[in-house]
Amino acid sequence: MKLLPNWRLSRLAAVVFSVASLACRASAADILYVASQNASCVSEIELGSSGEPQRIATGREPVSLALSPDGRRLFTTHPEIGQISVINAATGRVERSLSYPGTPFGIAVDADGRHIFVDDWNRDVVSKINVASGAIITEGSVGRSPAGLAADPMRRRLFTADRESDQVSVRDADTLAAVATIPVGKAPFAITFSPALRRVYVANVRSNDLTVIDADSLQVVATASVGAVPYGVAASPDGARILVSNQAAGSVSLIDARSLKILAVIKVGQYPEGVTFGSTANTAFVANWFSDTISVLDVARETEIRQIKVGSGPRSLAIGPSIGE
Amino acid sequence: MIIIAVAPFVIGLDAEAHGPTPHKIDETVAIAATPEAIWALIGDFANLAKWHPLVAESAAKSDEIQGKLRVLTLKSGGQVVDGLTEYDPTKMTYSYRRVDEDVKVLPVSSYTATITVAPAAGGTASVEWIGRYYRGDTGNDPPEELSDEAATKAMTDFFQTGLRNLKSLAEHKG
Repeated sequence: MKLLPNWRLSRLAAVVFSVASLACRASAADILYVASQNASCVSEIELGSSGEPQRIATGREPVSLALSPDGRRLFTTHPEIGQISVINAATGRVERSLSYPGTPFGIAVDADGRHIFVDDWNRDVVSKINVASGAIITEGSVGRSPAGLAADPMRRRLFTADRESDQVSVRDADTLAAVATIPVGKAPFAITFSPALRRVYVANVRSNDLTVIDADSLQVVATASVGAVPYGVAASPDGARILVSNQAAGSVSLIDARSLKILAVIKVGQYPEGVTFGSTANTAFVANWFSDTISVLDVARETEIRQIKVGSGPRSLAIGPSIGE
Repeated sequence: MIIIAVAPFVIGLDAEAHGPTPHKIDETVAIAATPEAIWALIGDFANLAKWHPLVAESAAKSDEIQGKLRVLTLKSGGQVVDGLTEYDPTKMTYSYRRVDEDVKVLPVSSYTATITVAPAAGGTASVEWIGRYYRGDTGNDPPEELSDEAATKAMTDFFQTGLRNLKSLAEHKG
């Protein structure tokens, strides 16, 4: 069984293991999902189409997003009200709302699509939840104020960015038992796993740098300086590029993953936060929290192509296949 | 000023330096003075007391990790420490973030902000001061004095009072 935090990983798995579960993909178009915290909605943008984004009304103030491996279910956390919304991607509606006894923040979906993982900003735990029953199966303690959550499907490990402990906690995805605690920079917030290079990247908000962790040895292999107040990080599907949003600079840093050299600093909207690559390394997207827009980037040309208006306060992004009703 | 006290029915959780829901602030003022004259007033990051009437004293400090800091002594009492994150005098803008976490002095657990002078018609200018902030207590049941409303009021008062005074200073000198 593999642990797949998003659709991109599932695509990679499909290539490597010939998983048949993606046969349900209705078309080649990708969908970009955007959690707009202040507008309490998730925007759904059909890429390659010039149509207006669809807005999915959710509970109050959604923050983090995760898509099931088959792209059919989207999960979002609502830290202020202790809820997790389960959105049906085909109908564009919230089909269920799971209550959670705390402040759910980061989220990832297990490979079977039957379990999700969330971390709790105030209780300092990571929880494994059965989607069908909504029950918490098990929990494990992490550092203070865990924010971003990433999963390594191969070794079945979870990584949380423990913002107030300046560390990353590593937990076993089945038992949530402690595997390791890794000191990183100051105030780690966003975290992502790159299956191609088997590395974990952590953006440290207060030390303006990126910690690079070897996902096998769990050692810090490098720390790279980025721009001011880095709040989002993503790795390209082929692993070659890293994108970091610099919130105080209104820009993103495009980084070569092997040399960790900054290839370009691209101006985007105001207070950029969540970032993601498209299903190829050619495009990338940035949630501009203050501007209420999504920047569409041409990665090869290192430039912003356009901005798309979305609901107020966009924070996080997820990319998946278009699912027909 | 009337403060309406609401009986807290849940004990507040510990205040963290961050939290679930950031809020926006966006204040702009039109000033009948040249951008250069306004920048001459506000361009020194460390010297906020020069133009902000709620700040009694501001002192420059530097820190190995946080870089250039300003230590603000507020007229209402207590200190707030800001760290400079971006500075571009050619574009007449700078950005900063709160470095300390004393929510008793200012009921905002963390903020980042940017102030920019933009040229306007007829040789005048506008000054835009924007920011992102979190309430003082980022638990899910904050006490009244550390709520979203308290944070919004504190930030709005601080930005508006500063910009009003900046306008007055710049226009009288102009």
